[in-house]
Amino acid sequence: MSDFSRDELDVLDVLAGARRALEPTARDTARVLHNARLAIGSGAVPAADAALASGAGKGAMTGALAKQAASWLAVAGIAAWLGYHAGLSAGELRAREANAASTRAATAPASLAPRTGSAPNVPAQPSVPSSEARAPASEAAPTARAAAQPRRKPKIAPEVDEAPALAPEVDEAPALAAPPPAPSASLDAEIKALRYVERALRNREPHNALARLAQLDREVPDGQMKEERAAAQAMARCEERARSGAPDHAQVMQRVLEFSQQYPASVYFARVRQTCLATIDRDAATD
Amino acid sequence: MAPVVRDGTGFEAIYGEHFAFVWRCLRGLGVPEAALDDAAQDVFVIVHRRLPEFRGESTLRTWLYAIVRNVASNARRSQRRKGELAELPLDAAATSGDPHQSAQDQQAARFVRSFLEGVGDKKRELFVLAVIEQMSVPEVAEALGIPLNTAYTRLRSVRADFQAALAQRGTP
Repeated sequence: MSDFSRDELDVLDVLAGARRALEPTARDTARVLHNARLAIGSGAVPAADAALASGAGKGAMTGALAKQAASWLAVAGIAAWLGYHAGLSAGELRAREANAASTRAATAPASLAPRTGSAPNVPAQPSVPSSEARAPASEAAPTARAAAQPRRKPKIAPEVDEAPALAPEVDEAPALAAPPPAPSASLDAEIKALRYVERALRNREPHNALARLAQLDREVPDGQMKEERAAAQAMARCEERARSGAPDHAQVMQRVLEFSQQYPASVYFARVRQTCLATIDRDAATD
Repeated sequence: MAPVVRDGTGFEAIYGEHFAFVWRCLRGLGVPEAALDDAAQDVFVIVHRRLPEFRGESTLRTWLYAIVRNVASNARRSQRRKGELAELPLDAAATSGDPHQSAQDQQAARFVRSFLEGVGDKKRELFVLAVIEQMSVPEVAEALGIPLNTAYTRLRSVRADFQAALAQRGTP
């Protein structure tokens, strides 16, 4: 016999039903995760984040302060490179860089995104289920709402992979040159190209990456993903140098320096730095 | 530094575990359907940005709720500026494979929505956390930044309001 009165049972029934109706579907879950990862990869800062700086952050720096700190740390990084050119060894520089990077990681939002699971020479993250792993389940259970209301496209373009990937990976060969795409199509074209570039970089095929980037520059000269392109280009050039013989350490550093000057708060900075420094490590190991 | 909390879980683990909570809260707080995706996305972008700052001084859910609350407030404000009606469109949500059950759930959801729209923000938040999310009252008090006694008093009041509204409506 239930301990609840009829009124209480009514309340419980209504609440249980309402709770079920408030639940997200599997498709909601997968879609928002995908879009959030894109936004994170692009370094987007939601408007509500500023309001949280004094509340949820519990004493954390405000976004503006964090950005300022990132800028100063980038300046510190530049000074470190200048030190390198003045005769510091690459090892000393790397140690200084690591310190600067860890400081920045602890303070600045710019370094939160580089999740370093599968990038070469990057420490692994604890493995977590990916959206790709979840997506099929959501696809298998489409809902009436999802079917009736196709969701908007993500607000922000670039994709985040294990490391801050430049775009989602798919099997795709380099496309042939085509007429300039319409604005709505240009973002898709960029994402497709960057997927290819990302894969080429992971496969250590810098020539392919650079060729695809050059093609993208011709096809979509004023794209929305310039930061991703610049990061990819810097990494590809470092790799290319390493492939073509002993990397010129100063030039490698120059690539990283240029990228950090251009995008001081980039989520890709850590990856660019590590990829480029790794080419020097590999060179040193073969000596 | 990877965004890691004390128990060693990362961003995506938190997403997997708490997305439904965030989604339900956003809906419960009246974020319109058209803005729901963006709001949920914003919550998790902020979570990603601020996870290293989470010191474990509160539970993860209360920390998340502080973010949800701000995002929901922004979303509602933005929606008001656009002059759109802030609806809580639960009608199309598929909640069950059973059409009858689903229809009942939608009816219940509509009733709860209509009730929440009439109780004011303070009671609304408390109802969402304590009644719908079934968080403990101390946890709710912490999430809302109110004294425990106030939380209990407000909860009694909103429960009574809900019972009264339900009685007025008749048998569900």
